[in-house]
Amino acid sequence: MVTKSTLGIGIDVGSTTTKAVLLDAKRNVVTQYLLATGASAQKSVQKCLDELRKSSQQDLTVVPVISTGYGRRQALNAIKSVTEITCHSIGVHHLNPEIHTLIDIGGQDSKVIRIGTDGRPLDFELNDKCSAGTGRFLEVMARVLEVSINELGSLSLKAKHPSAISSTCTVFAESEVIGRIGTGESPSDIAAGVHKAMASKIATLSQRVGVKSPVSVTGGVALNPGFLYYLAQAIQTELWVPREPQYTGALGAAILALEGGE
Amino acid sequence: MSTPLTYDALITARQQEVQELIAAEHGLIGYIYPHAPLELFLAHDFTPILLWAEPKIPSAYEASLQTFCCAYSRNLFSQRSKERLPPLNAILFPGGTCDSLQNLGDVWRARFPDDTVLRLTYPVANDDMAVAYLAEELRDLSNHLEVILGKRFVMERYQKAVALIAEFKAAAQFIAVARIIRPSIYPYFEYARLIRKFLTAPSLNMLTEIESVATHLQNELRKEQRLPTTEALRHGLLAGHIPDQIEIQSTEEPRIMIIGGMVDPEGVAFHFNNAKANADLEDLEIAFDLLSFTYRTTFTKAPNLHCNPFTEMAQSILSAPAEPTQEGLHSRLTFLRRVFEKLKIDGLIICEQSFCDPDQFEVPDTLKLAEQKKVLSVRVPLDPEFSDRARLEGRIQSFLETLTAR
Amino acid sequence: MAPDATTTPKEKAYRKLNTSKLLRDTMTLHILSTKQASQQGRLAWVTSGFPVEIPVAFDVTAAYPEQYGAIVGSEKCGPLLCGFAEELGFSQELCSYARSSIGSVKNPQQSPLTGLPTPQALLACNNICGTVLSWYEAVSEMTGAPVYLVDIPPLEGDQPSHHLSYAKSKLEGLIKFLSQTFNQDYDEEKLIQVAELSNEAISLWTRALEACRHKPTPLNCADRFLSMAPIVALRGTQQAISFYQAFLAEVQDRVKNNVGAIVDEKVRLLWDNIPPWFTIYNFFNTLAKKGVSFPADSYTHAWSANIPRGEILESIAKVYSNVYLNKGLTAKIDKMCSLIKDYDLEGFVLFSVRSCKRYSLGQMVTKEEITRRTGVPGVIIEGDMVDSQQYNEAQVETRVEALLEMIV
Repeated sequence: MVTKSTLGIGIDVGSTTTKAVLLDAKRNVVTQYLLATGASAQKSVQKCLDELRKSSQQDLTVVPVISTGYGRRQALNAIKSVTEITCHSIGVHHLNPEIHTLIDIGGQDSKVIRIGTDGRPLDFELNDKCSAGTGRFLEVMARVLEVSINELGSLSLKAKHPSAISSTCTVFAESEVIGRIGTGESPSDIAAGVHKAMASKIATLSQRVGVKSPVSVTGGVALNPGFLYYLAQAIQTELWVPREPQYTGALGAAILALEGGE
Repeated sequence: MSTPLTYDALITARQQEVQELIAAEHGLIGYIYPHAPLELFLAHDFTPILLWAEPKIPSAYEASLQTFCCAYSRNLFSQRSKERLPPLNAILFPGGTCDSLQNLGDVWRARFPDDTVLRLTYPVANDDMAVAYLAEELRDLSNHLEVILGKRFVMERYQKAVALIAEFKAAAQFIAVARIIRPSIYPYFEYARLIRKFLTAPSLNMLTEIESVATHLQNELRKEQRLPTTEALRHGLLAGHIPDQIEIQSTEEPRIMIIGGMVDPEGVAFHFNNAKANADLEDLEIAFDLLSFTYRTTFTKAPNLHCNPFTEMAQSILSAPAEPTQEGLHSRLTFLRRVFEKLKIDGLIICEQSFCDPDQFEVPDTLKLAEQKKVLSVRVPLDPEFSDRARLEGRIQSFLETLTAR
Repeated sequence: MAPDATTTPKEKAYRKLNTSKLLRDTMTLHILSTKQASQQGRLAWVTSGFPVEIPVAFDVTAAYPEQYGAIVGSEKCGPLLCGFAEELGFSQELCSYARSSIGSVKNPQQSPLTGLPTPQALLACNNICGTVLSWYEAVSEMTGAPVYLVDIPPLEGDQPSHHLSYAKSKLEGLIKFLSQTFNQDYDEEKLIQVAELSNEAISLWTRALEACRHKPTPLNCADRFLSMAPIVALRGTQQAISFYQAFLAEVQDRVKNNVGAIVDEKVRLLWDNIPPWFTIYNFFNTLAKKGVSFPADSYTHAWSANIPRGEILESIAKVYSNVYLNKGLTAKIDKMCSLIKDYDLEGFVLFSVRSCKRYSLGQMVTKEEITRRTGVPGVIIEGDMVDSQQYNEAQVETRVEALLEMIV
């Protein structure tokens, strides 16, 4: 199908959250929605679509839907499923065509994408095997430090002497953090060490693709100021974070839906 | 020098020591696989330095090596990426020893094109043809040193080097055997340290230090009238066997042995010491070790200066005992059985380096033999960072508790 | 959801080879011959890169534990058999071919085909990796069969004369070993004949591989991985020649009639490494439905060198010293770049096999270099060839799809 549509919907079914975006023909966001994916991806997809309909007050039954993300095949009314690599790339390119390197950190995986001048990915690398370097790493550490995941970032920015966390594995790093709490290191120093370790891992992942400034960061972790601070140091470039970094995948999918799915 | 309190402090002290040792030397060539032709480098007026793993290095290998690459290789690569290696004129990689190091050499060349990367490919056999092959490889290496690095092989230097290395090995052998005879005679940790320091940067100073320890132990054993036994055992082990007439005295204390590959002996000793302290067994000492950087390096026959240097060095290198990178599992097991029997071993600590094929393949047959010979064993998976420190010490401690209860 | 497959549900996207029955029969006969040979005391287990012409010239039958590994993988018994080896104390970090082989020696009754028949000798050549020695020595401890290692150290660039002498000396040692173990004299004439038979099969096989330059390719990856069995296991025999004659004829027929291995070839890719045996059909046929074919791969292209004319042992030493896996990273990259060029491929998939350090380490560098030199994009997917526990279908799918999105 090559005919352009007046509206397009993108749904990003992640392992932690499901996001949906409704775009008009001019690629403006009409409305968007996010919820926790929970146990049933199909149910969260349906809920998203219902919310889009309610909020836009339009009948969306004939609007093309493109799905992306881990559970993309669970979006049964999608005309096509496209990988999140392509969708994030397109989404970020739309928001800022100057961006050539994109770092996306999800709950369970992280990826680095080199974006071409047409907004399509030229190269990418994924870390989907190891939880260190993903949102999960920070969740575990936040729990050990007894703060909420939202507080962890600002806590780390108060550090006077960031701890050196040397373990590359979440399990070992957790032991290390517990050890440091035991020896009386301040929570902010430890939090800083945790962010620094994660930033270092992401920096290494980025090297495999090549880092070209400015670099965009998306995904839930992009809302963490501590992580952004240490990442900027680790990769030595400017960082650009979209206003709503969790929606870029769904945005890219919605753009593709407008273009007829190609 | 007393054992530092924490592992961090140990590493910091070592790093400083390395800096000092290296600062005194010139023309550094780094090598990884312990059976490197040290005499050859010295003959060309280079200082061969063994590149140890750095436990605190942040990982920086993921862009170039997969996680199933051996942990040692990854650690070295991370060191290079973070520019934490000493200033080297060249780095020597082994070929034919294992697939991780084989690929590491190739990947290193690709990632660090300005580094001078040399390779010495080893045969897996040790017969005459293997010696001839390795001799030619050594000759090629020598040519490379001359052509690429501009320094010639000088016979006089070679002869001095042979003497230096041979004397170091003889001293190290003596201390090892003295410790077999009476483990309390000298701490295992200190023995490991002496060897490490010498291999870090071979020098007359370091030789003097280790020789003075050997001499001191010689005197002790002479007083105990155990010197002839010690020497007989040393010569036997150097020839690859244990003479029948060797009689080790039984003791109250269990006699413990460590076996493993390219793991850090000092690091292992350090964690063993912590474990034994936790088990209230302060006086217990390791009796014997069969590790790559200690026994397997020092119990090799020195070149004898009568023949072609390359053939002599090849023979010396291929005389390295008990290496799982070489052919001959069956003969290694036979030797190990003999060690259990004659050296009265009660307990065995098996160090298993993460993703090290030669180490890991050896373990099941070793365990089986230990069980047959009623030697209590514990398997200790390790990586160069000693990541899982607490669990590692816990394992050794449980092992010691069971061993001493027997 | 509208189907994005280009075929109707009833029609398959991939075509079966007519010679697949002949292949099955050929390999079944081979399996039977190995059982018989074992009973007669004339069976050797052999590594895939071994100069098998020599034992064949001694009337020794060869069985291939690596091929058995492929069977174990395809029967989805990898985790089970590897588990048996792990019970003996073999680490999970070790090669899964080795683990499953050792597991089958330990518990043959629970293994496919009740394991390989008992060997009288274990013949290893380390030109494919260093692990084989450790593996075979472990099996030797379990079975009592002696090991002979043809030690061929890794090479870079041209083979120096001292390397050739050494390799040749190992072949001479092999001859002595076989004479003693199997109580038979060496017959050089016989060896020359066997080498010629080997060459004939290899030439036929190579022509079949090269026919895949055609668009559409007459063979897809799975086709080649399966039909390589005789070239690995029956090299030097008439059976291999007979099979490849029929096989090549069918391939040429497809080319003549423009019949592709898959129904609608839209994208041509390169594959690197051993395949995931436990999901080989699913993987390649799912992609076939999307019009994706793999006209070339580095694995099946590794059995294409003829034994040259000249002194027979020296010639054999030369060929077996220069196999794909013995030549270092640069040579691998060169080979893959030329396959991409010669077969007009638009992308590549590097399978990072956790078990296989020799083949897999360095793929990150390979990926960058190939793209730099050829301009085509690639992707690394992770897993194992036998241990299905190391393979995550969803993750692999995402990566391959992302690659396809970059190409189309």
